Amino acid sequence: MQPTVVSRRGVLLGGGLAAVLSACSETVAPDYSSADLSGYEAIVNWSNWPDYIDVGANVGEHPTLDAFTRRTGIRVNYTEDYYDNEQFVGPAVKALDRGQQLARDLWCSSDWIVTRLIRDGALLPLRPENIPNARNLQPALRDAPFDPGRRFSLPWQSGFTGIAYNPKLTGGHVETMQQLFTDARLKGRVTLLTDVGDTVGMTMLSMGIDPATFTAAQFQQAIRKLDKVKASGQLKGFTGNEYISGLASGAIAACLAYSGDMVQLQADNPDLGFTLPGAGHIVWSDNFVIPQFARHRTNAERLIDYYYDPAVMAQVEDWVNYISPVAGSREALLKSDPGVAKNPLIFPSDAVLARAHTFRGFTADEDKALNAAFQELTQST
Amino acid sequence: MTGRHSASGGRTEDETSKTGVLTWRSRRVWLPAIVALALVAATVGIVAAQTTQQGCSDRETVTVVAAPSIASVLDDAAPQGKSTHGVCTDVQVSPRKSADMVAELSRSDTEPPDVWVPDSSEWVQKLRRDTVGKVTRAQSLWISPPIASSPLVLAASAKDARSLVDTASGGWSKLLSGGSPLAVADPTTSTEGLLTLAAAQASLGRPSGTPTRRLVSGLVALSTDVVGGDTPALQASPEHPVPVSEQAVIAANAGSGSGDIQAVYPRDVGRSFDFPVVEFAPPERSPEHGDAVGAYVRSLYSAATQHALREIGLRDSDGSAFSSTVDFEGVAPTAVIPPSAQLSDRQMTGATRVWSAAERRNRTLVVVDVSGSMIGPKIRLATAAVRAAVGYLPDDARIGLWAFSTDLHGSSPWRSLVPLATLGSPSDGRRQTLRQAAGELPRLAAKRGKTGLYQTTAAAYRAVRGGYDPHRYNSVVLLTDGSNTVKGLSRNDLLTRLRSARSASRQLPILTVAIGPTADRGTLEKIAAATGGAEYDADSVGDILEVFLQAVIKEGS
Repeated sequence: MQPTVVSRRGVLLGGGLAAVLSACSETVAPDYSSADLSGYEAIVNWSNWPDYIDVGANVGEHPTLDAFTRRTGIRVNYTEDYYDNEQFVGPAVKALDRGQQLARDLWCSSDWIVTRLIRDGALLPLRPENIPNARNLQPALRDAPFDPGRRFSLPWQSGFTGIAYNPKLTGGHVETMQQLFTDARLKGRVTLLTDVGDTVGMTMLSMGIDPATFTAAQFQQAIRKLDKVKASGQLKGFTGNEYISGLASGAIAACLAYSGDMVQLQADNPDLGFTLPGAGHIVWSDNFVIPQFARHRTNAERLIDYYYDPAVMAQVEDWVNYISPVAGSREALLKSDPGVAKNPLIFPSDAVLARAHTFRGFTADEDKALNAAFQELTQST
Repeated sequence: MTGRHSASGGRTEDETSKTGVLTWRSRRVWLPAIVALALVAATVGIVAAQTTQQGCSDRETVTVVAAPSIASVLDDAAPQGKSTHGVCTDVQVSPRKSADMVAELSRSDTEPPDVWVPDSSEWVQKLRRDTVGKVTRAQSLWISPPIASSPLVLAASAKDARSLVDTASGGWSKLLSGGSPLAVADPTTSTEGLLTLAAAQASLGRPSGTPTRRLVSGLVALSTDVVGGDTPALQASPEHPVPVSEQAVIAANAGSGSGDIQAVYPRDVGRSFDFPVVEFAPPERSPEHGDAVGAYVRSLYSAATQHALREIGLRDSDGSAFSSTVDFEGVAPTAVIPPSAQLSDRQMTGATRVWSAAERRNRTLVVVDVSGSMIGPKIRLATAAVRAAVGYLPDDARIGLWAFSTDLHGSSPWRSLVPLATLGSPSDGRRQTLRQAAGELPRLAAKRGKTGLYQTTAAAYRAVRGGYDPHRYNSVVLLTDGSNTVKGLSRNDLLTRLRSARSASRQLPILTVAIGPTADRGTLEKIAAATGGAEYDADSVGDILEVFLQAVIKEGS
């Protein structure tokens, strides 16, 4: 791929003469939004969570990305540097607030933080004419509470949050949140997740509160419940993905866990159990979003469109074992890898989907207080 | 201030307009004229219009780390003080060995430079392997194609070169099995060594990376020739042929003013030094800084930089012949030497393992748990792991195999399946004996015994200490999924014995491999610590093979 020698600021074609003249004055921030260099630089810069895409024989090789480059001539700078929603999005939004363009055109954020990104005006709308394959989006995901009509986000992967347990240590199944919170056999060996939607959302469901429509008071009610569980000594702590090694090694008896991780863990440890409680479970997505001022906006949209081809997404599912947001990928996989296509955690039944709930994001008014309450829960000792 | 980064191909138009802008600015052209032209040319730096002839509206410093052989050219290539959009760029180039840079970037607390130009893509691949699953700033990396190449050649005195050409015509496989020593640098710390290792793997190994007999013996021969960590300094008359870059030969001959050193090109010229451009781009990197870095990276592909790279004896990234105007001594400037495809991670990991095994000179007793809980995939994979290790080990490695559980040999919980002895060549039959003995393990597990961990550990340690070989890596590798369930020796007594037996001059580490959640990791860690060993975890059954190989052979790190 040859680098080109076009400067971003030179391409203020959309802005017209007035914009160019005003940009000459020091006080006016340059209008990056119209500076899509996709036609000049065949590049797209994409940040994603680690181990969240198909891999080739060598580290850094991703067959679907290579095929995209062959098909379109667009090189993908794919970086696995999105470790945490807050840690990635925080500095990014700060920079955008200063009118600064980021060195990324695309990344994948979890539902609840997309709420904030949209509210902060940090995202560019996705232009349907550039993503015709978006029609393949699973109907159930079309109207996300945080992004009605999917104007700014399209799911990359979805998954369930449920209860994982090691029957050797629990002496049997763990089937409800109540059991997770109170079963004496699990005492001191339970972990919950540091992600607010997972932990508070699952708790709400066990209390009969709808995580898609809760009030601030109901949120605080769930936090009080969790405070009590914590005070009882039931919990070992709050974790990110590191629960995986704890569960495998026996340090954790039962915990909140993600479906895709469990598919992989169970391949190695068939004894491990995973429950989606009868009271309901959380379904979440990590979503493609394009930030303001993205330098290669059209290229990013082409990449999203590419992954919304069911055959392409099927290749990804075969590796990551999460839930495909793209209709038709199961049919594509049935031919190549029926084992994965028939796994109910990867392609869930309608009955299981009916019990799946999304966690709404916070409104601007709630954001500070509710986040603080959750931080206090997870971080205080 | 000229358009120094004019580039090849279809970019002339852009370059022209950029050069044009700079000229206009220096003449302080009337502003609206610039605006009008900007709209036409679409490449004008707006902010530039505010700056005076020399002035910079802002300064950006681009930090570059480059392989020593290329650093000075990259320093000169930098568009120093040149302003794009009124932003002036300062470039700081630091020379650094690629192996050192990989080690540094693999740490989580390292702040990477903006640009890194190592002398082989193999180092970039190693960095990626070493940082898989780690939270490091080095994860934010973008890779651009190499800016130059230089084939791996053998540097020899003019006298030796003539006879060496014959051997080299048989390719690397002939060179590595020909019996004449090469002065090789350490593959773990030098690019010369690493590429020699890659050449050996490409010509003697398998695409799958599993070791072949020829690779093992080739690398054993090579490992005895290692001259030390650093790139060997080229003398006018090297005692033994030295694998180096063609460019090193050119530089050495230029320094001495004569063509005393000859480059000999192995026929299956496998490997080339190449110089990929790695950009570290955190998401929140400012566009001003990004533009400065981008401009610098582009300048590396420009005709001016490319010309400077040819001048110091580096070929273009395709390995094309040098132009007829250069006159390099001791090399074949008119030959076209295209770099070959990179080896796979499996191939490089396999070659590095064989190398480490050759260097380590094992005298190792492998002790495998065959208690009832091992029945099933665990014991089958343990068997496979022992068999696989046999493939990586050189003929002079000394390996023994014990099984342990309860009452395996009279009342003692262990049984010696193969006593510690030299493996020898395949015709000696000992490799086969070991493979067969490993096949006994599942049958022993079927007896469903308990776990006599402490007594066995003590006995294995004693067995290896007897006949201690100070020239070898004496060790016990202990593989278990359980905790001690047999009376007779307490944990404290075992640890006390191990600690008191430890001697600085006679190192005898116990390397423990804990399989799955039921293994008594706490005790295994203490056993390892008491003997200066290490505890390895195979969290899942599928990891047994890899982890066992790491314990027996050590990863070349």
